[in-house]
Amino acid sequence: MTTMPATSPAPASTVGPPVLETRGLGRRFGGLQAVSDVSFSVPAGQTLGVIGPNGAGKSTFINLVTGHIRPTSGQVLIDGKDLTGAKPWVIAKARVARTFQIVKPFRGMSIRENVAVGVLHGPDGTSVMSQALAAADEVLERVGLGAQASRSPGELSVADARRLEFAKALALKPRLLLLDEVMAGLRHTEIEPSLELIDSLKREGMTIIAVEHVMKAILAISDRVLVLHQGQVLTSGAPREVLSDERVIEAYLGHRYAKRQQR
Amino acid sequence: MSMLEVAGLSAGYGRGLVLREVDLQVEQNEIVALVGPNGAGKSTLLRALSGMIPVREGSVRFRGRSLRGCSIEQIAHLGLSHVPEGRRLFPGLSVRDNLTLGGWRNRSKDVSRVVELFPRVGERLGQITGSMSGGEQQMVAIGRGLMSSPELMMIDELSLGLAPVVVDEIIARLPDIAASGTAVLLVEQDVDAALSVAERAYVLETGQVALSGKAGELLADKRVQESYLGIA
Amino acid sequence: MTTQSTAPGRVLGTNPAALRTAFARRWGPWLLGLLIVGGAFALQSQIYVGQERTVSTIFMFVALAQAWNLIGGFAGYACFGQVVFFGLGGYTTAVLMAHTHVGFWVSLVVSALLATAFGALIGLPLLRLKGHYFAIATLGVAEGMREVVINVPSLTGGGAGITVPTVGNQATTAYLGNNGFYVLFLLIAAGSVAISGLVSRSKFGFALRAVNQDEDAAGAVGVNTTRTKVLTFALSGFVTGLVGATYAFQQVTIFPERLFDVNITVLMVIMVVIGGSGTVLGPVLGAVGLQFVSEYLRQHYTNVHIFLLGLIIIVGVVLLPQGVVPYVRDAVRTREFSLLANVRRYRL
Repeated sequence: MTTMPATSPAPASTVGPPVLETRGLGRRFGGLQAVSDVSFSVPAGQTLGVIGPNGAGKSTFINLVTGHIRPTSGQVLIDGKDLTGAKPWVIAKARVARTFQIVKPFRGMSIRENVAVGVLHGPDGTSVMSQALAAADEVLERVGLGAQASRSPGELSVADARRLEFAKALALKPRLLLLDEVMAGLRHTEIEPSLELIDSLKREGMTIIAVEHVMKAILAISDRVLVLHQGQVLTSGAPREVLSDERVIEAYLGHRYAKRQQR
Repeated sequence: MSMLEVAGLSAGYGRGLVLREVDLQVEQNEIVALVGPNGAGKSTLLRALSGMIPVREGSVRFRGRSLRGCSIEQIAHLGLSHVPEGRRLFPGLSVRDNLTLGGWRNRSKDVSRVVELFPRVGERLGQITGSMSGGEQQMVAIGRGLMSSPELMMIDELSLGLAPVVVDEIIARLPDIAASGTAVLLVEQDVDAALSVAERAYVLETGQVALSGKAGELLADKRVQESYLGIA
Repeated sequence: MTTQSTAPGRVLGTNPAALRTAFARRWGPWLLGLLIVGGAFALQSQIYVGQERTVSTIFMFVALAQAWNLIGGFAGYACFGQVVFFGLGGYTTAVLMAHTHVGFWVSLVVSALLATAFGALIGLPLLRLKGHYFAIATLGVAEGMREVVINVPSLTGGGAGITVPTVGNQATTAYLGNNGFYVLFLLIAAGSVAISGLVSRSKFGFALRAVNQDEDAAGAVGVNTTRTKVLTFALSGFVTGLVGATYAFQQVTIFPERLFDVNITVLMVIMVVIGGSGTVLGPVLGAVGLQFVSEYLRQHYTNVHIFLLGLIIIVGVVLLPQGVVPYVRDAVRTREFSLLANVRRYRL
């Protein structure tokens, strides 16, 4: 990935179609409506934080966008193009990359090779092995794993394994990056470098959607926050506003909590 | 001495550590709530206590005995019962069979205590649990946990997927359970429900105990909201 | 062959020592392979007829094992119906040569292509299944195909078998004889190892290994998992079909029970698993090793050779769960040669 010199943050673009738009997106599993009627759009360069209590449908939501689960209703538009229900590799070739909540490294391959798979089969479709491996090395440098490139994924610490997920996603030179709870289980000291990496990506104009539980991270990176509750959009808006919204407090802390506080 | 005494507990999965130096006590016949945001390690703590994952550091003493290194069966035998997240009933079996399987510790088939607490379960002893509603399943799950007459029952996220009315109904039965000899350690997302029934509570945040104290006091403490939402 | 790799573009520069190593790494195995094939050719003149047939069979199993390794080892989809390609290849050749008097070489190509097409056809639906379901479904296909063959006697001779014309004016291709089949099986075996080597190091090989490890993650980085799996299955069908066709010609008369024998699949699996699934050398070692041991036992312990073979296989699988090649590779790397350490390393 070419690194641009750090400049002032790229403003959210209002020109052209939003990088991601969903219209009435929904998914039903048998009798359970896991996600229903989710509609929103993310303009280029914006970072959208997605929060919601357990069982809110956040993971399902990401999988619906990336094609790992088919929607049962609604549409997914990427750069204005309808890619609803497209397979994951088609979405990847549209320069939409993601990380997985439970890290999924390719065992039996070195860390460099792990990243190279994306360079070879992603949107750039490099054919020359040596080029792909060299490009993988560059991406690994970017995320701070350069020194570990020849080792195997099993040897990585939890924080480094998360960085490998980043690297695999960045190998696609994505326009849209979907982060699935990348801060989960990290100590405070480990969260800082991740926030810095995300920050540097934002400065380059990356559009990011981050599903998170760690509110500190949400507050630090999000331009807007979307709250999912029981599969539906509860509310959205500026981070601090949303987190002080009575309905959001109720969703997280219990159905009588906010009212009780007021007594 | 407390019935359950946890000191300096550290545990995790694989190479990572989820819990760091957790201290916690539960007294006889007490209801203690364990709350905290997602990913804080609440379920991990229960799993460490019931023997599903190994304790990396620290001590766990239950009724005076150390639980470290004990197998899941041994811990269950000692009187520590775990009602897991998501109920995990045996969906193809009847209510009565599910309950009986919970009573293997003392070969008990006596469902009277469960029926008394949850009359709705009593009316459906022959029904296949897979066909029951979420609330009814949760009642059966708790009933199953009670069949072995445990001294301490740990309940993991009973409110998940349940309507608030049902949650209230089930939570209301916990004081009876505690009073009749089974202390309860309640892990809950619904802070309001948990703190309204518990006597004491702990707030877990990123693997450590951030707050602890009397439930009523914590309910009024703004810091609880902060640990969930980042701001008060 | 190792899975670790350097990034030559960065490391090389103009350092002559590094260039030599990179060259050796890239071409070494091919040169070695060429040497071995040359040696195998030379071997032919040194051994007598009985041994020649045994070695031919070894070559045949090397090819079969490599073919299975593509779908079962590299892709991680354990196919328990692999013999269906063997039988399809064999019967296509026999039917063509017996009924249409087409020559062997043409039949060989048609048989291989038919097996390939069949692989692509059933691969599309079956490769959606995972693990045990895929294994059973493919097994079902093989068993079913055998019954189909038995039930069209006008075409295939049914249970009575079918004979390839090798004498008189019906015979369009001269019988290859022991020498000829030795060479043909050797070439097919060498080709299968070459295909395996190419796949393992290529862009396609990366996709395959990614699919094997985690299909969700592979899809997320742009690998078309469906196409990758189907192509691999078709390729393994191609090689297996080639072998089957050659075998049919060699045997002259073939029967459904033999050409669709599930034991052939089982042998393929055992050879790959013991040798090292997902490696290039593993199937070779497995095939050669198992055939040698099997022959040796048969000659020296005639009464109990099957029992002993089974015992050896069991012990082998328990002590070397990932196979010989990964064990040697890991043992050399970590300097831990104890077999017990190996079992612990791969404790499931």
